[in-house]
Amino acid sequence: MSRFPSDSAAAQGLTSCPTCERLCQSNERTCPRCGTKIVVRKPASIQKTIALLVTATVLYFPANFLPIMRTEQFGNAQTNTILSGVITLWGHGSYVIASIIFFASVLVPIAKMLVLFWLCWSVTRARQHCQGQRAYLYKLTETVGRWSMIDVFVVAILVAMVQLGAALSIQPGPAALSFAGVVAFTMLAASSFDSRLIWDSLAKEETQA
Amino acid sequence: MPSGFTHAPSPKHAERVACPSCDLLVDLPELEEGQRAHCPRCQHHLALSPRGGVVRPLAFAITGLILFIVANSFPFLSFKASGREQVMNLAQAATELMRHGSPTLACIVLALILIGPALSLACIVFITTPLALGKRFVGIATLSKLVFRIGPWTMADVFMIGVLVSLTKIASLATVVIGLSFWAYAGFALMFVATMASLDRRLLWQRIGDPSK
Repeated sequence: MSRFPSDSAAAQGLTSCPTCERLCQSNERTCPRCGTKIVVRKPASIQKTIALLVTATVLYFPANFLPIMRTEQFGNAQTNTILSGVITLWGHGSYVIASIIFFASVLVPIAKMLVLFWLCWSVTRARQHCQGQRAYLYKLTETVGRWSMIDVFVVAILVAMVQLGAALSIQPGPAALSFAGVVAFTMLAASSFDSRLIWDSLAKEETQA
Repeated sequence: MPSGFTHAPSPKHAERVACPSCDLLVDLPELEEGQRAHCPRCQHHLALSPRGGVVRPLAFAITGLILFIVANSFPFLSFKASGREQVMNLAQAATELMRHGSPTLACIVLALILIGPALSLACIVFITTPLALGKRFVGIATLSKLVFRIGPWTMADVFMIGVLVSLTKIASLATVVIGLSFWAYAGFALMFVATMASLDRRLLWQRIGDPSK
């Protein structure tokens, strides 16, 4: 019995080229059109995804607890973490901006990591449900990931713009790099996950039916 | 307009593909201009028959590159407080990080907001110009692979939102004057999004495989 569902390309000995989406024979080494290596499923997809997720999780702590930037005004230094920045913005009445930053910098990265961990676990289970919803959730994490970089760019712009010597200046904090790391590693994790694994579970239901 | 996918009386099968997202085998119908095809099982976007073929992304990319040059030639923002004025140009978003002790972050920002998006658009111009003329050149496949490889890492649009957030953050501290570069970069980000949206991966590779199509 095949480990791929009968209506999938893999069951017919065919594979979509990962770069140009040409339908190739699974036993071809490289795509005849663009030369990309042909793999039926991304090799060691789950292991790689989990390794990258663990890296992102480790970086998530310094990213949130260390200061992301330091404001110096007439000798007074004040440090800001991501969350304290959100609270300050909220306090100033910028509710929309505060919500954008809270979503992009706090909620989205943690939700993305949880979703990817859960997806990795779910595809290894014996009985699986809700393929459509899980595929949708994966697509969502893949699309939304890059928008978390907003906070890094905010730091970059503020550091470049606000340099008035002793009167007022802004310096980047160590959390900025950690946070860029969190975003980058979750993006890499999302791209190393093979969403076709979600649908391969349909093969088991075919054998039972 | 009929959707082509479900209502066409006798759909002509243009190509058989496997959905890259769920691996379902799908016979793509012949698409009319402006139509899209989605995977019937996972709704993944499979193909688009863009209006204007490869000429439209080419036009967007050239416009974007011109705006990119403008964006790098004028002040981006200037900031006035306590009787002093600070003028910032676009590249300083990265170089100032370098000067203040974050060289790694500076390189990341530089790559994501300037080098990546501009490189993408330049590659697209190099790829689509010969294709629009029905020709191809050695290395065209390598360039296209590069464009799709760096796709998610080009963040012109994300940077633009970051700029707007920073503006609200410092509007309370001082007067901010928006420079010409700001508008040029906003246009560049828009052209970048438009180029990517009008470029169909499948069509592009079909043309690279057989430029006469």
